[in-house]
Amino acid sequence: MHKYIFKRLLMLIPVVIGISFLVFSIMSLTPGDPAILILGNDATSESLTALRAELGLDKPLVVQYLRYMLNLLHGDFGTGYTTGRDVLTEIIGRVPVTVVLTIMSTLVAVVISIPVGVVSATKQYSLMDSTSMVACLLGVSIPNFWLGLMLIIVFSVNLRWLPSGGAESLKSFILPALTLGFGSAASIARMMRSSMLEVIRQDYIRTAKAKGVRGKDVIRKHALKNALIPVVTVVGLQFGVSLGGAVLTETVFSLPGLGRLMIDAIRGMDTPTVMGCIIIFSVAFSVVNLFVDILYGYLDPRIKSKYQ
Amino acid sequence: MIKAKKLLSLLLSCAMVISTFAGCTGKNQTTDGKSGTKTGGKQIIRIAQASDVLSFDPHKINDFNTSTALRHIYSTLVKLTPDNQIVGDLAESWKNIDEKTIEFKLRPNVKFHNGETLKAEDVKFSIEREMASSAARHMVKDVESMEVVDDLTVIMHLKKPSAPIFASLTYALSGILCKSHVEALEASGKTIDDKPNGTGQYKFGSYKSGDQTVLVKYDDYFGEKAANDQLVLKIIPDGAARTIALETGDVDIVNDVNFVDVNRIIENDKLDLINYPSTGFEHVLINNQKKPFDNVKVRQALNHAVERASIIKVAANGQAVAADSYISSGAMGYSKNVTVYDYDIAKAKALLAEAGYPDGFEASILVFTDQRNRTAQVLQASFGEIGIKLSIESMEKGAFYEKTNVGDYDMAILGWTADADPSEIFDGMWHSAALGETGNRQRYINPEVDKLLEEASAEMDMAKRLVTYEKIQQIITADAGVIPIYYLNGLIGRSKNVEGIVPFSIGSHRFEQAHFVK
Repeated sequence: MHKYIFKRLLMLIPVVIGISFLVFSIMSLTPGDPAILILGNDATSESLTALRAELGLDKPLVVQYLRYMLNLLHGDFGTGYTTGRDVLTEIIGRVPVTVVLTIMSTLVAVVISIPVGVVSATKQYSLMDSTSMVACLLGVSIPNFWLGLMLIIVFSVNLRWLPSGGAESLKSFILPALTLGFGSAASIARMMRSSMLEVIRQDYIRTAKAKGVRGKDVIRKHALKNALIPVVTVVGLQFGVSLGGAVLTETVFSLPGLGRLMIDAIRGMDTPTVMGCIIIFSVAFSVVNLFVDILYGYLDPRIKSKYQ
Repeated sequence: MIKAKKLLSLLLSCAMVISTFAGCTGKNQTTDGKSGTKTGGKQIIRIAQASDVLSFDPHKINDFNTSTALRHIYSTLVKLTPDNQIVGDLAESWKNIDEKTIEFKLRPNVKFHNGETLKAEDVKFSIEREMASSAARHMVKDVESMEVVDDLTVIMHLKKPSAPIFASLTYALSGILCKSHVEALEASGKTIDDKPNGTGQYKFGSYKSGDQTVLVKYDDYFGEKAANDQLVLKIIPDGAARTIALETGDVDIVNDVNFVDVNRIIENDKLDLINYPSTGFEHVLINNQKKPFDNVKVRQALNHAVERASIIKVAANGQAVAADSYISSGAMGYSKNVTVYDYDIAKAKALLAEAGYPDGFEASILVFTDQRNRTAQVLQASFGEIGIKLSIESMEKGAFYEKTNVGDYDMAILGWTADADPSEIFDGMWHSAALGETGNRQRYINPEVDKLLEEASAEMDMAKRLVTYEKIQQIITADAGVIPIYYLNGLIGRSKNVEGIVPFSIGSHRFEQAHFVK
């Protein structure tokens, strides 16, 4: 198992190299000049040339990339073009907000979706099942920035229960987590339902029922754990989706997270900051998926036995 | 029982993890949520702005929201009044020794936030630092050198006579730093961001990237002290979210209201909208060097085909004034004696026919914002009436500049916010030396205009300068260099219990006199 984890972590290296090269190329091929974006449309040619030289933008693309990667190997993410601030410090400052948001939204998603999926499956074709599946369809279709604004109007503007934005307390995270969690909940609930449906038709469930185990216990003790295996994968993937969704949600709710840092950096053509954010995002996504795979082993002894 | 314990411990661990992270969000316990006013009777004004303070080093970046914050921390040699007059700030007085030498007498006993006293050496150091900064050196391009006479006297030697230099010195980019403080920071490998130190009304309080900046009243300020105890600049990037924050009382002032939210604010009896003439000048660039636009009659025809009222309604939600010249009515240099082309389709058609294009032609227009896309759509309809088939190319800002900087376009929509001195917009947009990325993107070349622009910059008498600028605008009109569209209104939203906000037409408003009335 340890060997497996080590191997997977080792695989992060080519992933980071690949992603960094891709993002660096895209940023460089994108038309536009960071110097103009920094100095404004009335700066003189001399100032622009001087700034380009200062930022190293006058060097060939390959040189720029290699220099960046060499610094990265030393843990130096560079300094932001627009702010001149250390990218890593900036990222570290933003990570907690995004982590809290993503964890809370995943919790929201899991807490809503698992019971909904289980009830839908056990009471298939009932009113409850249809209602929840329609809600799921809505959940995956509604864009989260719209849902966010609606929640703000109801809970902040009209009811005045929750703040409309900022990251001043945990209360500020409730609406963003609901916004982000709702879409994920819909996907997970659908997965849970179909997985549960498949499991409760298995022979061992029938056997358990025949032995006289109570319906609730059959579901809780025998069916749920097995039905959860594919769901865990979806939760892991949804965590990644949440990281992406955080970009929009953070903007709507004015949360100073990593997603917003990245968006601002993209607008300002601030390559070092964009690269830093993408690298952190991709590492986080890979690690979460690794964690999901490890969790698999604990949920399904058959998989665990393969690593022994 | 064991399972219940397991569940409880799981829940507790989750709660711990989350609260740990929540603790890291760097919240600043300065405000008490909805009440808007105080923590312990303090006046705390919360202002929503769209983007972050990018640096606390005044010589580092020219950005609207960054400047707003820095103007409250740093003082400059001279400053602007709301009606664009230049008055002394750190300089008590100044005189021109000759046309290339200015002597500034500094105010005595001005204290930096760290307690040190301002000396002429600090001014010399700051201006020289500005001259060396790639982001700020264009402000002081006319400065040759600085000379310290005594602790309170400093002389500025210019490369050439320069009237605009005073306006340049009012910028946040020309903020005066404490020499010993900066040198000590740099010696220890730190930057100004680590410990900003100026002579302005506010000391640096705290900064949380992407979230908020807190400025704290400086009690030893040399001039009129701030009327509030703290300014909290909250970053709310989304326009709708800014208005909502004002409605819910999460902020007291919105620095930059979206056009679409204007009615929401007006209709709310607890809120008020400050509507002031900004110096934003929206215009259509015409590539003067490209066929068929190199023909003045074509450019005049295009000018006649523009219906400004519709554009203002569609693109700016009515929050703009039809442009009647090439600089906003809120800016120095505006003249009532300049007329632009009126909306007259018959005349436009006749001019096109005279130019040899009776059936019109095909052309494209570049835009990079939604607002300008809507302007382009109105133009598409109007130009269609005179036979010009206009295609709209919407692109990223960077791509837009890349094309317009080298003249690879037919028409494009852009804005220019004029500064305190008219030379900035006129030299930038119309001098042949500014061709391309420096600002003359319409590629307009007229030696007569070049000569007049140079004369105006070297003239120290403002009245005489204004006459020259008026003449320049009349020539530009005859040449139909661009199509003036509108002057933007500036919009500040405020809670009705906050007073004392001073809007500046060039932006970068002052909030030191903002205070709660109830």
